[in-house]
Amino acid sequence: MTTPVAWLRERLPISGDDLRSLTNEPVPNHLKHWWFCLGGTPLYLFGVQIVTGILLAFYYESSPASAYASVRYISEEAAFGWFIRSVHKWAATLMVAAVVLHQMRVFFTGSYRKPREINWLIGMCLLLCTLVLGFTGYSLVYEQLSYWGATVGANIADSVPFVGGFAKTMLLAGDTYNERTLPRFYVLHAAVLPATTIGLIAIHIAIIRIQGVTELRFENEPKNKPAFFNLFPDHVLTELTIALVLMIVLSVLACVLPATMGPRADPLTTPEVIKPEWFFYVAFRWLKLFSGTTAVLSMGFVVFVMFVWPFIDARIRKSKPTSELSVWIGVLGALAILVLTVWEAAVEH
Amino acid sequence: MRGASAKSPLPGIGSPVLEYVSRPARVRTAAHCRVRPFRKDAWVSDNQQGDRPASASAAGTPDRRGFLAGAATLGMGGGLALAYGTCGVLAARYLYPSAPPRSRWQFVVEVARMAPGASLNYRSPSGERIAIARGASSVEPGAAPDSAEGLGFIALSSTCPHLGCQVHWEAQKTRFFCPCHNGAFDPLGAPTAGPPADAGQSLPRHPLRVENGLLFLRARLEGVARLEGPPSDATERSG
Repeated sequence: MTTPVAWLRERLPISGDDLRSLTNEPVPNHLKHWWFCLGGTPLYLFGVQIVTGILLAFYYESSPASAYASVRYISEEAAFGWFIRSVHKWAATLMVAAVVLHQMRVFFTGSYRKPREINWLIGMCLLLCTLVLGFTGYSLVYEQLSYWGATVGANIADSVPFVGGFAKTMLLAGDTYNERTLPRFYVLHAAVLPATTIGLIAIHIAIIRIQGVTELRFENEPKNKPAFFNLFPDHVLTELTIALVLMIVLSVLACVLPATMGPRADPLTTPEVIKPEWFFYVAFRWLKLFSGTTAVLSMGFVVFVMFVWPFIDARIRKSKPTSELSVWIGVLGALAILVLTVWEAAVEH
Repeated sequence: MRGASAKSPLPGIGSPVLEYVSRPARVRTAAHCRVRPFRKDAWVSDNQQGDRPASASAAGTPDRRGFLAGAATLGMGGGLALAYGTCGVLAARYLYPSAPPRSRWQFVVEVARMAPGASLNYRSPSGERIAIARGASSVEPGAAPDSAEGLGFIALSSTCPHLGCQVHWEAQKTRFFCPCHNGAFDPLGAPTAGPPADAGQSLPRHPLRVENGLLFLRARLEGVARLEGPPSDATERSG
């Protein structure tokens, strides 16, 4: 009689050695520091979002008449519903933060440079997917913030010349928020965007495997030290440690600061003080500083510059090889984002 | 190496069309993953080993063959693009809302009951709040004296033209204020501060009509506010 292992080996003829040779990507030494592992962090958090999102979908109803009540049921009546919803909310918050930190690490270590420009572009698409997932996510609760956030978001799209009106109509299923709007946000949030994100992550990781991780050497490192270590099991263990710490952080946040519910959406009354989620504070403040089309076009221009940054940086380095202009532009950009975010957080209007 | 082979077990088929070959599973090695180098002449030479003549005239000149291959690729690619493109257009058309929201002329008030200087808040069937006011004189120069404009009526929507939030009336500052991005409007809906003032966006006006001494307003019948709001024909008077 064959043992279960032999039975399985006969059908899936992959040996331990094969697995090792398939996974043993050499990992540069600097990844032993956890702060260089910020790429794996959003990936893990995205996994948490998929699991908790599927659980939330069992009870959520995407109709304006019943959405708010279904979220209340999840939060107040379903067993551990409050915990699952809170973990989903906090994992989203941490995911945005992790994606931004990962992008800043890539920026300031110059890891987007030739030949890695394509992966930077895919990373930018992933950043946008993450932000739109956040936006559509908080629109589903159907509280005041959800309704007015969706309305403002759709009208921002409307400010884009030529295609804006079409984009707004497609997003809202009409020219204003109506009873067919919420299912659209739900499908985008729970199907279209996650599927797109999974595809982009797969390409992102495949390109990393093809090109290898950018090697960074610290100044005080001894020259004879080996430059690489094994992905499996060494780096996988680092990632698992981060995953464990994140799960603890998420659980603590969910218990100490659980997701709450604001007042139900009232299409007739915009609240006296209204703000989006913190990661949109920058855009919200920008919209207060400039008139509609100017603000939207300038934001679009900033996103465009971020997309093509590797090519702009290549030009700068070609004309002035020793220039540190790219770093200073990055520092100024990060400071501007920080200042606008803090400004919006500090004032009522 | 081929393992034990068996004839097709399908009933009613005399000669085996499909031969089932049981092959022991092999452990994959790096050598199996290696891609065989592509030889351009391999396909032609393999096929020429059979009963097809090897002469260039029978197989066609390379130019002719290249043209046919190109045309076939173009036809196939074009066909696929056309077919899936049509499906894409159908999908986009399906997602685009099929009809604009319905709107209708609605009775508001008898003209005689609204003196110049008075105003009222009208709630449309869609749930939208509309501020209707009557000025002391015509709001539009050149308007017919018995028209709604000539009689000084205006109907201001409460939807901010900037990004669609709801404005509210601030009596102490005599202005409409939008809390989203700090837009402000005077009592006639002209922008006075914030992004709407920068862009010169006034509060939208609803069309009005006077007929037989009755004031009518054109507004939407459907809206998400209707789902939970008070009765749709509710009107409140003020001032």
